[in-house]
Amino acid sequence: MDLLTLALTLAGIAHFGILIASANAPIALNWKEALKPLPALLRQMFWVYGWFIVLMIVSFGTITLVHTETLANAGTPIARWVNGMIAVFWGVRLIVQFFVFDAKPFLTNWFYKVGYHGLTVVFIFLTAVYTWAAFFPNQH
Amino acid sequence: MNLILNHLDTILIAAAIGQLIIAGINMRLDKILGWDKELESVPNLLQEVFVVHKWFISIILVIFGVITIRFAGDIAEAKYEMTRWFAAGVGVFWGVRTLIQWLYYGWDNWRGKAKETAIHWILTISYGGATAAYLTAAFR
Repeated sequence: MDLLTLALTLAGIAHFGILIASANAPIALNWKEALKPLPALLRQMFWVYGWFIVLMIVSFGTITLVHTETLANAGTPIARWVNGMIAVFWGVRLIVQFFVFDAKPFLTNWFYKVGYHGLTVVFIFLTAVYTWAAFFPNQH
Repeated sequence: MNLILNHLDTILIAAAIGQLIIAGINMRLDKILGWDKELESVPNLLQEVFVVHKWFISIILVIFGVITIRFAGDIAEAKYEMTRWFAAGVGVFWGVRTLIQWLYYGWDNWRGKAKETAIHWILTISYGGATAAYLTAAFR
């Protein structure tokens, strides 16, 4: 297995790791109580947004693991675009991690701290791998 | 059925344009519905989460729209295995969204209110139409 295929395989698996952190967020931030003051429709939309983000992460992970070779070798024109779009997705998420979220008040124990900074590393990895696959796929 | 299959690329482009429009509306939805003030009643980090989720839903829709417009012919013809997977993924996304419209959001949001009922049906038909178009491309 070449390095890019290996990196994409790890990236596919990492998506499912991120879901573990995502599942923890509503508990850590106490969404159920905190969202109570909001109108019902807005509260429901909050959850729907969250579910669809999860659905996308599952989709990115699945398509990467099922089509690893195609994505690594730019086997079809759409493969490079898919790589590029996933790179944009995680690149924006990385920017958010650094410049938008102020999570410090919620990083109250070592578990949350490790998890938060671990996620930052994973976002960097995903952005780098998919950018690599989009612009410099394997040539056969 | 043949008529639909023969024009599936055009239908997919229409669906893609629809998704780009929804992405734009989604970015302004909290302002349009006057929710920006309501959101101030929840903790800062949750406000940020809502805004970031809103951005990401729009980014996802732009990804769907751009890839569909760029590869409408290939997707419509199910030219590659990956175009089938892409179409199936987007089809499932909109299928779930259609179900949520009926099974998760409260009916009291629209029942007995003319404008809201019209919006509800427009959304149902749009989301359902996108589901049908993409799933047809995936499983043709």
